[in-house]
Amino acid sequence: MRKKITLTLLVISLLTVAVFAVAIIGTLSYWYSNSSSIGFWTTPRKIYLSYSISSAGTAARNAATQWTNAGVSSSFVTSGSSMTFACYPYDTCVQLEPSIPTDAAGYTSSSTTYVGDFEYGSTYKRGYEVLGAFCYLITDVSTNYIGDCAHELGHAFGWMGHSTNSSDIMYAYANSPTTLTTRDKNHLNQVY
Amino acid sequence: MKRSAILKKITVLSLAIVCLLTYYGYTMFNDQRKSQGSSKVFSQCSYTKEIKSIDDVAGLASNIIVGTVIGKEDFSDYTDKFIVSVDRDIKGTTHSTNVDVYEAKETFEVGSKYLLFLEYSESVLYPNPKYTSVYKECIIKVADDNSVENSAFVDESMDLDKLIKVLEKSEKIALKPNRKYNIKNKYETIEEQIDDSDHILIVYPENIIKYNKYVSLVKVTPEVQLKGDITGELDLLLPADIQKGKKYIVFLKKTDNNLELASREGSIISEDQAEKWEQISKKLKNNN
Repeated sequence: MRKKITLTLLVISLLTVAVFAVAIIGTLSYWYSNSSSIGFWTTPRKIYLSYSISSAGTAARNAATQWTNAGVSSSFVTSGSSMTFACYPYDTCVQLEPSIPTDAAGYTSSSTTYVGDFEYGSTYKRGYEVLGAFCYLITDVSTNYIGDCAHELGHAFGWMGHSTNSSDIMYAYANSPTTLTTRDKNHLNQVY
Repeated sequence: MKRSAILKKITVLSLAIVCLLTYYGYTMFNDQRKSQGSSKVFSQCSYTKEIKSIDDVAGLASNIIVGTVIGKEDFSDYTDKFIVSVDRDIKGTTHSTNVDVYEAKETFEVGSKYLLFLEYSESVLYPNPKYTSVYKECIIKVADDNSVENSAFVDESMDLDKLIKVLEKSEKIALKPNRKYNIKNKYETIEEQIDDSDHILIVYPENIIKYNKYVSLVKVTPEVQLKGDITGELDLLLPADIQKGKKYIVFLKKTDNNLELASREGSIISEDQAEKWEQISKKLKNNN
């Protein structure tokens, strides 16, 4: 009798742990980031684009098209935007956003809410809903407008942290690639 | 030992385990509930040069300080202005005992001490010189016992004193960023202001985007050019309180990439400031 009571109590306690445990919001198949977080939008990504050099504006549009082809769509709007992409020289960018350091080719801030964890193998990655974002391309520092725009848009769409592979657009340091790699795409596309 | 006594012990032990597991589950649930729905700003930088050591970070910084965060102000949707009281300068000399450090929201805890690798910049649109971390992964929180929290290039075996010794020996600490600033606070006379400005324009703001507490990006077409020669539309950085539909006289200076207000004070005159407006118009007419 007592054994039964003990067993029942143990089962109840284990169930309590299971019920109260972390909410799992999905399963991931890929992970290429040095961060343990990932973000995703649940609303359309409407970008307000502003620039002083037309080639920077063209690069931002090219980068957005690459992400759209990778399954993370967005559109450019003149009002009612949910994110902004500003392409200006450092002296302008640092007045709009004074936390941009001199050595940055691009910079992105995103506002998020934690919504639960993704399961990846035997580990968990924190999942955030992105509510808004602001990207900068620093036009007199960047030497690869398309690559750097694709990198910043990646962050804005939810690619948190950086890839450690230097051939990826999402590598930590501004580099020469201009097209998203399969790794760049798979990492983000899986949460959309 | 009697069988009933053993059973009693097992029951007590089981109950204790149940209580512990329930408490553990409840704590996890509470932690989850607290963080779920909590907002966070992520700021991510793409650097041009690979930063491989604390020496590299020290080389990039114009100022390395140990300071205590004594306050913060809302600055924009993503960024806060943190007021940091400088306890010690390790590289460079900060312009004052309290400095304005701009970082992503919640970067710092008010009341806590940090070792910071900062760079300094100035703008006519900001009330004070502004500072920010040169490398966002290297913001080092210091505990009361001088131990430091894990950060890029720093592990828990270090403490503040050891870190300062490492930094003081760094060859790169002597490097100074090649940037010069020359912000004019206010001109003594209107004549001096007119002489020193490259362009003086009467403008109507056509489109205003307020970016933060101090700055708006404003599209203008010069209505009258009182000094200088500019053609077409202009994007100007002007104070955040600028209003559409009002007329302004702006005194501008050329920089490498931009046109910016000539001084912190008195370089943008609204038509509401009738006396000042009249005074400047007369001076300019006389000059012409």
